[in-house]
Amino acid sequence: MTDIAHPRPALKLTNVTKRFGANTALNGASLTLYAGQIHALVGMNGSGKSTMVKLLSGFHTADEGTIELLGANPGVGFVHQDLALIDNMTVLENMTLGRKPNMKRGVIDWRQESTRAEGLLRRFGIQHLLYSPVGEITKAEATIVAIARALGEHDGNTTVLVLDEPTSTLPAAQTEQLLKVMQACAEDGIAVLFISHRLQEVLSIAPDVTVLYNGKVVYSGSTTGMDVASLAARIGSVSASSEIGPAGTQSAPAHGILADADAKVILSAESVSGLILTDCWFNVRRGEVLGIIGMLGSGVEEIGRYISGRSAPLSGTVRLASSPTGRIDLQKVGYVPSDRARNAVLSGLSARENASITGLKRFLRTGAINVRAEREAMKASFEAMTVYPPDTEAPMLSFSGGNQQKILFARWLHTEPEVLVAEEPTQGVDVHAKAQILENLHEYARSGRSVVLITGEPEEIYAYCDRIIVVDGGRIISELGAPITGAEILKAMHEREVHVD
Amino acid sequence: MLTDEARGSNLAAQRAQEGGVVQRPKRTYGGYAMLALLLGLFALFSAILPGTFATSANTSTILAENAILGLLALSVMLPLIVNEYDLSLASVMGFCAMLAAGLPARQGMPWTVTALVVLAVGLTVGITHAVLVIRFKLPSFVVSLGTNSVLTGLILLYSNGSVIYDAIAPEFTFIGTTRIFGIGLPVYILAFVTAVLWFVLEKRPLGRKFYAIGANETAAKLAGIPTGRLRAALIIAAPVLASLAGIIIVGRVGSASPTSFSAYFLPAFAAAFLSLAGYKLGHYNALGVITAVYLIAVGVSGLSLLGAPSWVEPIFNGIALVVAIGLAHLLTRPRKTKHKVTS
Repeated sequence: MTDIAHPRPALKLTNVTKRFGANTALNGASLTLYAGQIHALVGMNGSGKSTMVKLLSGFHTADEGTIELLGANPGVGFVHQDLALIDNMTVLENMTLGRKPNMKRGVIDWRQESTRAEGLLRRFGIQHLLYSPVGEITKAEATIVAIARALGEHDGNTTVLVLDEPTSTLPAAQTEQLLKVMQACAEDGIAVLFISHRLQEVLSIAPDVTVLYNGKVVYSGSTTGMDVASLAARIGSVSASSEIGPAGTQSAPAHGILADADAKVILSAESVSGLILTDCWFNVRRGEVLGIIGMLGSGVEEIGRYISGRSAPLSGTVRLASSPTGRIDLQKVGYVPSDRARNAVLSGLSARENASITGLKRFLRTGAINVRAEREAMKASFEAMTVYPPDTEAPMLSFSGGNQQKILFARWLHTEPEVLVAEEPTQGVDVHAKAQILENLHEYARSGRSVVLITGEPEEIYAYCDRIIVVDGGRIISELGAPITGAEILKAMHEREVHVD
Repeated sequence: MLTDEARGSNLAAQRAQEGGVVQRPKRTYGGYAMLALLLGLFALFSAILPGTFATSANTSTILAENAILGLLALSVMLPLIVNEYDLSLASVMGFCAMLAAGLPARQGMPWTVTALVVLAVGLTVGITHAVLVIRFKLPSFVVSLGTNSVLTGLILLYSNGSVIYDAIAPEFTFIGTTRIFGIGLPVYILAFVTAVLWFVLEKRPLGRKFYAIGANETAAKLAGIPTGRLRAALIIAAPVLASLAGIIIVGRVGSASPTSFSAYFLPAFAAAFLSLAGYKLGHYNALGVITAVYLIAVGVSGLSLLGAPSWVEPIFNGIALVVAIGLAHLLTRPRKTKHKVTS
């Protein structure tokens, strides 16, 4: 079906403009998707990617320009980041949702439904999951189910597939599986629009890329000859120091190495065990940025809540040196959890209220919170974190993902905790916001505090770490000291993968 | 490669944003719509019914009669702030009123002991709820539905189904009937309670923490807020406030009827939900509750003086409840957000 030499356009956006009030979200953007090709869409948070997806889905209508769906019987399928699957329903039941199921004598004809769903899943080799509850399959498999469901829409005539950041929450080992599925879709002649922050993936899978900046298309064309640094440079105007390809060799010196390995221990984990975590011992030293890395399922995702005192480990102790009893004062150990929307954002409240909640006492004047003092302090905090716009009174949800994350760091930095523990500090954050956040955290550690970064994506953070602990199978398997190189990280990751297999 | 044009427009946008010193929050007046509606309705009925509605006697009656509903509605509001329901509060008020009337009359208790017993009843209900909801993680909606039924039974048990009207403690009657500047003491009590709640909820860190729990309990907990303790505090405070309302209603009415309290249930909830549409939009708040109580009261009073039959009142209350929730939904509809998944 695919004719590489003469690709057939499947979807064409021409000079599309979309405004929200005074704000122009998309400004004369043009883009063509070809049947059988994967086309990546990249850009910073707020650059217009989401607006484009919403225009394609019909959620918004364009103010100017045209969106043409080409072909004999075209249809667009969408897979959104949160997948819209129901965990306690089976794959089959989920495949039946959102469309009119086949009926027989007034009830759903499950025999016909299961045949149909199986056919769709078989293409990706996951038909054996038909009767598994979605909550019990892997994240990658769930994403593939969502893709199969999207392909089944329009009576199976889906010609364009839009994938909105499908890999951003996937552990590395599962990403491969999903990328293969995307390639299979392309082989079937489907035009795939792949939205992602992960530039390495983009370069490895998409022959074409469109880069949005500030609502405009600043590049649209082949990825041939591009590397992560040059693509990152197109995404923004600043240098690409924040995202280094796995082959990169940049090490910490740019940020200064913490030479004093005997620096005072301010937090210690002693024989900490949890659901997966087993007998972990480590210290957090004053003035350092400690990275703790490991894949999803390695136990790394448990560490944050234990060392921040948010929940008690099943056994073992976490001790805060400054506290006479060793008990952790939740105000002295800040915690920025992963899954922002669920674990950190106070929706319905303003950005100011979101940020100040950790330290309201200092704004008390004659027993009442002085909102003016609070606002000014938060504004200063936002500016230090380069929150854009630094509008303290805007609703939290009106900020883009990266700016929400910056506000959540501001929430803790203004209270100056002794230790700041952050999980997946750069999740869903664009390249430049990433660099700013990590730079700020590094600076914070240098001011005599400590920062612990916990992540499944070490390539995002290693350049800012003084020391990295690698967790696998619930145990600490190695420790890397400065200078940490990309090659070392690659080796550590590789070892882990081998270990897991 | 970044085009110069794109870079330029971004810089311009940034400059525009950085222009001001400290940004003033934009003033919006949607929060005052309910107050305007209350004043408008009052003016309307005053114009139609100058002889009966627009009298100082009627005004002070409306104020005093609804002070008790106001206290009850405030008690309903408290757990709602942290997303907990207490469906038993009208019955708590009812049972406490039966005791406030009956303990001095039948058991010969002094009024001070009676008042303490009544408040202890409220406290007991509250602590029971808190233990079941916070410690055992049961849903407050169901727990309080159960308590409500138990209390209804206790009301019938204690009252034997009959109204208690003799030998009401004169101290309670004093609270219910004393007037200062022509306005009943219960109105001052309501004003005091409202002022205290407003100060705590709006001006104290505690209030912010309550609203943070209401916005996202998990996030609030991870931010270091002791969410269990604070939720328990509101779950306990609500029936205590309702028991206070029970004492005042006996003083005002001069009797306690085992069946009259269920009529307070719906308007109290209506007022609590309506508060979402007043002042602090999208958030339960004390001033909103009080404005809503009197909005409903003026509507009901005006309609009845216009000669509307008695069945109009529950219909009016029911419609007000649904309009309340609709209005709150409309006024607080989230603005277009850039990064919300649409599915």
